[in-house]
Amino acid sequence: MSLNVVDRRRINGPQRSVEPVYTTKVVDPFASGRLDERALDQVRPIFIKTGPLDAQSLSAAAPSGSAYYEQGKIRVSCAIYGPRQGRKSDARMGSFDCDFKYAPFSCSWKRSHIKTSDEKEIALMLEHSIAPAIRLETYPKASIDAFVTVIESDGKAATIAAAINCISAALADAGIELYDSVAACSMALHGEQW
Amino acid sequence: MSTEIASPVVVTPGRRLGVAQEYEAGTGTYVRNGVIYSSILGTRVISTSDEGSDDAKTTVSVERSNTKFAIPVIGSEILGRVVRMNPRAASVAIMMVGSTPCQEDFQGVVRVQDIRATEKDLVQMIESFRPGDIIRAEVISLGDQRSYYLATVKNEHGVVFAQSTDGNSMVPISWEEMQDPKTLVVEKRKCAKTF
Repeated sequence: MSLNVVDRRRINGPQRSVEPVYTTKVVDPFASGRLDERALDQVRPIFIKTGPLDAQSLSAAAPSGSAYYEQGKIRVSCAIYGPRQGRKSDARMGSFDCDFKYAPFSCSWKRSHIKTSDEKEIALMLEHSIAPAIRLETYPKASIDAFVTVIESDGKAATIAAAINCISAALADAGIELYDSVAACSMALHGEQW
Repeated sequence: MSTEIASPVVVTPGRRLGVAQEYEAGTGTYVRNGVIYSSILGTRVISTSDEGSDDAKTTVSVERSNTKFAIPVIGSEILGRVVRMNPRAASVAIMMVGSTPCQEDFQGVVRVQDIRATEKDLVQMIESFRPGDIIRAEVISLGDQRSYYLATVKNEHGVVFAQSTDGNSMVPISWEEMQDPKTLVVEKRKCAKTF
């Protein structure tokens, strides 16, 4: 968010925010290859819980399925609405729409409340990854909508992979017809090794 | 008469359940290259119908314990509420398909020529439905971009619940009339034959 535009509808925090420093230990990222001292072939530990957004906790219409996904420091939650009346209304196939948003407190700098082009691009990426796994021909004229919120982020690629896994869990919780669940993982080339 | 012949197993989408030669694919499954896979998260159920006869079929299906939401399909029976009306068509909010609820109301429309089977040109919309009535109808077409097309032509389709202008629930007295039991006023509706 540019420093000239002030959000007048909300009580604003400081324009610039810095993450508090918890440790005095200095880590050299180029020495071990990872910032969090994991082995190169070690995945962050995973926790998944489906159905956290049930009817009792919401005043508006409850989602058909939801999931909460944690992987190390990454926390993502997803709600699935549908199958419901679609706006595109194709008579042969349903449509899958994905909405992706970083919570303003999720990254180490304050994120905007308004969706940026970055988040829209990631939403398209999620749509293209998940849509082929859904049996959309069993939902003609209907739309399945996924709303992903990143509560805490830890690296862009790893967070996107976590979002994909979270959407898969939420779709299974919603009872949407799938060909298979979609799993994702992020990798990096370190020297000669993946 | 069907019996279960294997203990329930929890399966995830994409799990192989069997080959199409040995089993029939039931609900919650799909077939690809002669192999039956699960399409939802649920418990695998293997059941045999018509035991002992030549037509005995062993079906493998996946059942889900939570509510599964439905979408209108051609030929399915729906329950909906009349939302808006004009002399040519009535807008219906589709709330249930068969006995399964919809996650959000779908939009449907009953055109004046699809209300009755006979004397279609003499049908008056105002004598068939009123806004607020609950109707049972059949989906006859996927319709246009916004609405499904519905019909109340069959005897068992039509108004199942309506309130009179005084606010009391009305009782059907014939296929085209309903009566308020308190004020005894008769109002015209296309009633569903519920018995």
